[in-house]
Order: sequence, then structure tokens, then C-alpha cells
Amino acid sequence: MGNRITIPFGSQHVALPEPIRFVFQTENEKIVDVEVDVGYVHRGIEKACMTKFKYTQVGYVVARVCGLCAISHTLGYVTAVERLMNIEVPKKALYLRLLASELDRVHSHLLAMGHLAEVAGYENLFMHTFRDRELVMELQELVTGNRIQFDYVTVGGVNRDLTPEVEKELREKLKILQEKCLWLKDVFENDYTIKLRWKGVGVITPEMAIELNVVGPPARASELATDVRNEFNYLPFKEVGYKLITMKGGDIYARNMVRVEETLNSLDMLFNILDGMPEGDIKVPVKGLPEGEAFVRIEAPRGELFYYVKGSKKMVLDRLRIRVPTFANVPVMKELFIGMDYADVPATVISFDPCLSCTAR
Amino acid sequence: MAGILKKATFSDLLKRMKVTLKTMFKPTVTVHYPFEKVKPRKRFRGIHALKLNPDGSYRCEACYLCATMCPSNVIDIEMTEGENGEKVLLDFTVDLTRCLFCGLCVEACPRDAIVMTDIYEFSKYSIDKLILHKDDLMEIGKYYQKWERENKE
Repeated sequence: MGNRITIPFGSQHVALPEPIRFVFQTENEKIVDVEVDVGYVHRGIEKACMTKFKYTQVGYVVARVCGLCAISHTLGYVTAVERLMNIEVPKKALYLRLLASELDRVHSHLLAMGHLAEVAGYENLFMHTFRDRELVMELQELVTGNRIQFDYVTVGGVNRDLTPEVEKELREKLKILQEKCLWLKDVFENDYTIKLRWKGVGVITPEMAIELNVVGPPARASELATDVRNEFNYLPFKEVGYKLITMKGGDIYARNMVRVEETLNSLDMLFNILDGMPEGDIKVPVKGLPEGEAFVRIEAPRGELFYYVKGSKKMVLDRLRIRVPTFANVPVMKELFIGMDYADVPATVISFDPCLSCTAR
Repeated sequence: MAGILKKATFSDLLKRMKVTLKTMFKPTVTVHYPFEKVKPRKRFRGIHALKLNPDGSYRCEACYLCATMCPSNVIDIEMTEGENGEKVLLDFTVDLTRCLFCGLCVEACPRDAIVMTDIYEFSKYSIDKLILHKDDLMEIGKYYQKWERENKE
């Protein structure tokens, strides 16, 4: 038996894009105990939404919770309020929301894949992935007006329409992007080094996934068929060729492959959305005030995002509660680390694609 | 068996070196920022500007719609009553230190008076220069109207 050593990992670490803190107790190279602390970027957004902002403005504030899944947060809030106020959103607005949300998913998954390649020590692949991601960012600026904070979705519809020039450029760029993503898939699937590094590391068994309530791509990587896009009816996903993707294995490699496949599926869906774009208004006027309670579940790029909204005929909401996917994935991370080599920790953490500014809010 | 053969012949390594060689002779994709700039898209939301009518009068009627819509109280309007009982704009303040650049004020404006330009470089050495008053906004407005004429769809 070796000595027990305490190793702090984070809150600032080279392998971590965001501040989370783990304190590992290790015995030689094996981890025997771990503590997690997530509250480094608390900004009090929930409280601000309940005191300072009107319900029409909250959608723009919750978008600032997270940079990568900005559209999912706004979408969650807006859907909840629309259900409270019985607003019928035009079909075209729904399709435009779908377009923005899938573009967002592609960009977020490409970021996750790139970071994962980086922590495996594969700097070139990281650069390649990020170069391709730049294309999606440009498309987002083209459609919504900004690269990251879209402010595209509002209560009752969307803010900006799709003009023919924009649509033409979208199609051209998406075609290039699809080729690049297919090439990336080929690399991630067949590369010997990546397989050696990722196969069999950080395995989540299906039983473990059910017990600890894993969400998002990590859950789908361990054969758990859970996807809110499939279960909860908030956007017409089934009309545009949505496929549920699950993988066997549950290791880092499978999680990455789920992301790759989902990116390709999202690109297919984007083409279908552009082909089947209905005519009509993009926005309906909103009257009245929200009353009652609503629960909404949204599939953010990282998993199930949960919104609870309560209003009582006032301009300011009574309660807004956000539960984010990364928060749901922290317990399984903790479970995984025990008995693992310390050297595998960065890759495992990044394979969950943690978003800590979401978690702390 | 195939795996061992793959390992022995370094076929993966050769494949990767091919990619490296290919990219080596391609032009670089990065932009040398302060010297070269990427032009923002038409829908980009930069700093605010106030537009003027063709005869030089203010478009803004001090209706306070933008100020009420703003999520973070960026806009502050001062107005008085004119001779014939109409509203006269005294000052229009945009506090860029608080702005989210969400574009709600632009959508709220019924007369297309407040707009968002494509300017994204506005860092200043002191905070009070980031609070734009009426005259600054008019100056930017002139720039914007020129830009608008050039970029007509």
C-alpha cells in the first residue's frame, strides 16, 4: 500500500475549459476518493429573473446562462411561457427555431469533439475540428446576427426572417461542412491512436446510467434510448428526419462517436428544414400575462434541460427554475473516478462536455 | 491479424502525414486581426446609432418604447414639451457598459430611428467615453446611413 496523496484538479487546469474543482485522494496512481465543487461561476440569474426583469425580457437574460447552448435556454423558457399563455406559434417560426437549434447543436458537438481530441494529445485534430467549426459560427452570424449570443427566439415567434440570399449561402456552406464532417467521422472512427486511448476508459454500464440518471450523449453512448427530442413535443423534429442514435460500450470512444453521428444527423435535418420551410408569419403578437405553472424539457446539446416557470398574472415571474444537463451528469462522474487511473481523468471529464457556467448559473 | 499488420506498417501514421503535407501547402485560414479584418454580416448587431430624416431633423420622437423594452436599462431619454405641445428630444443616452446587444430596442422602435451598426471595436480608455450621448449617436448615424446606402439589398 502506497501513500495517500491529495491532488486538487481545478478550478483552473490546463485540460479544463471551465472552472470545476475536484479533489482526488489517490493511492499510487489509483483514485480512491473524490470531492466535487461546482459553484465557481454563480451569477444569480434565477433570482434576477424573478425580481428585475419582465417576462418578455427574461428570454434574453436566460440566454446568457450559457454561451454554447444559448438557443436551448431561450427555447426552453419561451416554450414554457407559450404553454402558459396558450399562444399558437406559426409553423414557419417553429421551423426557424429548429434551424437555429440544430446549427447550435452542430457547433457545440464540434467543440466537444475538438476538446476531446486535444486532451488525448492530438493537437492537429483539435485544430482541424475547430477550423470546421468556424464555418458553423459564420452561418450562425448569417442567420441570427451574432456568432454566439443569438437572441433569435422570442415569445410568440422568432425575430429575423430567412431571406433567399441567406438560404442560398446556407445551403452552399452546409454542403462543405457535411463533407468535412464526414472526413472527421472517418478519422475518429479509424484512427488507431484514438482507439487505443479511448476504448474501455471511463465505462458507464447501462445499469449505472439508469441508476444515476445520466442524460444526453453519455447516456445514449451506453445504450440508454433517452432523447427529449424523441419524447417531448416542443418542435417538429420527427417531420425533418430525426433519428435516435445509441451506441454500445459506454466508454469515451462511444460518447465521441454518438456526438459525431448526431452532428451528421443534424446536418441532414438542416437540409430537410431548408427544403420543407413552410410559408407564413414568423411572429404573432403576444397579449395577456402568464398564469399558472409549466414544466418544459428541452434537448440541449449536452442533454436534458429542464425549465419550470410559475407566473401569477404579473409582469414579473413568481419562480423560474433551471436544471441543466451537466448538473445531472456530475454524480456519475464522481462514481466513475473511483478506481480509475489519475491520468485518465482529464479525458473522462471532457468526454461529458461539462458546461459549468450552466451548472452554477 | 489485420490489426497487427496495421501496427507494423504504420499505415495510420502515413495517412496522417498525408493530411499534414496537404495542409502544409494550403494558404492559412487564420486572419491577422488588427491588420486584416473580417467584415461582419448584414445582420450583425454592433453599437447603436440614431438616424436622421433627409431634412436633418430627428427621427426619434421620444416615445420611450426602446427604453421600456431594454432588459438592462441601457437607454435613457430626456425630453421636454415644445411650443406646439409636441415632444422635443433633449438627450438620448446609450450606456454601452451595460448593453447586451440583444437588438430589442431596434425591434421596438416604430419609426426606425434607433439602429445597430456593424461597428464592433469600441474599447475606450475611460468609462465615461462609453456612455454615448445624442451627438455621438448622430455621428454614428451618419456613418450608418452611408453604410446602408452601399449595402442595399
